[in-house]
Amino acid sequence: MLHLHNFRKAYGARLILSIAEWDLPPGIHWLKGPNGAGKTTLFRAIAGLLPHEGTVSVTNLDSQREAVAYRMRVNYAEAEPTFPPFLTAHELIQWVGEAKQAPAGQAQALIEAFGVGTYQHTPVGTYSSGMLKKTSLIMAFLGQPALILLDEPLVTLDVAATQTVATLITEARARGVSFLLSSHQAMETAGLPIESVWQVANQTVQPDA
Amino acid sequence: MLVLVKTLVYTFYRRNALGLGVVFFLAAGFLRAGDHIALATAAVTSPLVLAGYLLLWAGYTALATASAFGSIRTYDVLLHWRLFPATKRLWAMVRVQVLLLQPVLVYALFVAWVGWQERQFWAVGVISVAGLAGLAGGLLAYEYALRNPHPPGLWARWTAQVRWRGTTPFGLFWFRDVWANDWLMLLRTKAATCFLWLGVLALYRLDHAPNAYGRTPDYDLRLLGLGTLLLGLGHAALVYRHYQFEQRWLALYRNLPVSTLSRWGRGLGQFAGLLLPELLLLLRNLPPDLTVWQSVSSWIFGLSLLAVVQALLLRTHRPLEQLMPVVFWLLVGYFLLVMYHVPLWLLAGLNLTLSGSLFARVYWQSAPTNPVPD
Repeated sequence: MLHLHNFRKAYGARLILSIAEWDLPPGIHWLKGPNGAGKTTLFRAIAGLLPHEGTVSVTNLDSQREAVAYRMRVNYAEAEPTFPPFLTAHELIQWVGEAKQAPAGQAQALIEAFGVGTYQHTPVGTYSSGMLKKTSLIMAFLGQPALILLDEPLVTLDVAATQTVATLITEARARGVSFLLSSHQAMETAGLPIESVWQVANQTVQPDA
Repeated sequence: MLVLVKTLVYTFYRRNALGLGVVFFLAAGFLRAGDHIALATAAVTSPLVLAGYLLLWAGYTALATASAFGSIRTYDVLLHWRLFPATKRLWAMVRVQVLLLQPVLVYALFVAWVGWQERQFWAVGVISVAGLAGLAGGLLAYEYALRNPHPPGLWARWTAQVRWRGTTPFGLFWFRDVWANDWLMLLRTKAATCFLWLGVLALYRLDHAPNAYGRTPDYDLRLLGLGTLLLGLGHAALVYRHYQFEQRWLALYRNLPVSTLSRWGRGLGQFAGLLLPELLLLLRNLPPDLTVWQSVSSWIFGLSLLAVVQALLLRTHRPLEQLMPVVFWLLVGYFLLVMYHVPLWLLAGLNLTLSGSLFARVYWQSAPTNPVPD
């Protein structure tokens, strides 16, 4: 499903990650690692936000050669999302939903699931970190992705929203969507069927011992 | 008191340093002492002239008071001001207002002194009342701001209603950002470039008027080219804001399924929207002796310059002050090309091709920078 080949990401002379080969089958995968190990860099590179060496493909779509089709199938929610503060959650969700060709009613269902309806028409600049996180998560589920990257999806969420995320992941997985999650919290507590656990360490990715 | 001076007074003078400097330069350099006395004498002997003075002073007072009022609304820590005893609080407000209105109060005192000398006591009375009204107005405004922190204003209510009814198209994200955060720069740039463009068009029209005394016109299409060169590169700071906005706030945009060509085209569309007033001015004042295509090609040349600046920014991330020397050299280079009769349509075409291909080559390699250059 996700394939990295000769992947290398450096900032100037500072090497962040070097991954010769990495294959992830369909499923829910958990990426661990200490702060600064390069988890977010890896997520952002797979999401198409960061340039890198080597190739990244999802369901055989190359992130660089088939940039549009690839991005239609790969969604991403950042650990600490930032959006133009004057836009509302409604505007952002509409924008991403349109770009990702979200089916009719999908955005509304997600808005209701996360309970953001009451504040979706106020500018995100007035949101708390939890409200921003929910907005970001809604956007990550829009469209018909094959892979959703969720960077620290549970941070700043309340208990009810944590359960919503777990339910949405489980439902999407049943439809064939794969997930790559990073979290400092124990994902087991969310009751998710984690298929593999990986560790980002020593500038590469390796199976968690 | 020092906190108030730093947040309310210094902020106002810093923001308006340029405008105040120009006024001071005109008042101290252009007008002589005798001129000031003559003007003040006219003011204290003519109610109409005095009314003009009062109008100017009222405008300045409103500007200064609005600035301090906005600062109180911006910095929540200043709301602690309300906890001080009334006399101490009001005395601090008086001192702040006097410091803010210093230029007006000093000049008003001078005019009042002239009025006293001229034995125009009615004028002295009017000036005194006006000065006290300026001080009292400030006190009322600041007390209101302290008693009503963050009220849901009419504007907020209206925009909330608008937000309920519609969504902002992507093409307008950046315009909203500039309008929300740098509306003064936007208005200043547009006013300057539109006046420049109108001047160029008027000069061309005058030079090519049918009754130009049978002489050969001095200017040709190159005049329009130079005009659009200036107005195009005059938007460099706004193009920088466009680049900065996407870098800072729209990292997610790179995850959206939008082709590279479309991304470049969207940017060009936004720049075309930015230059729309100049296009309308051109169409309203089409230069004589030129075809519509020739005229419009000059506008497209200006537009293409914005695309070039954007592509150069993506090629090398740099702060604004490092962009300006690049803009200067672009100005010199294009000035020579225009003066050496390189057709504007050709320059526009080359620029668009160059910026499009550079954009395609560097866009995906230009990661959003962290931190974003200021």
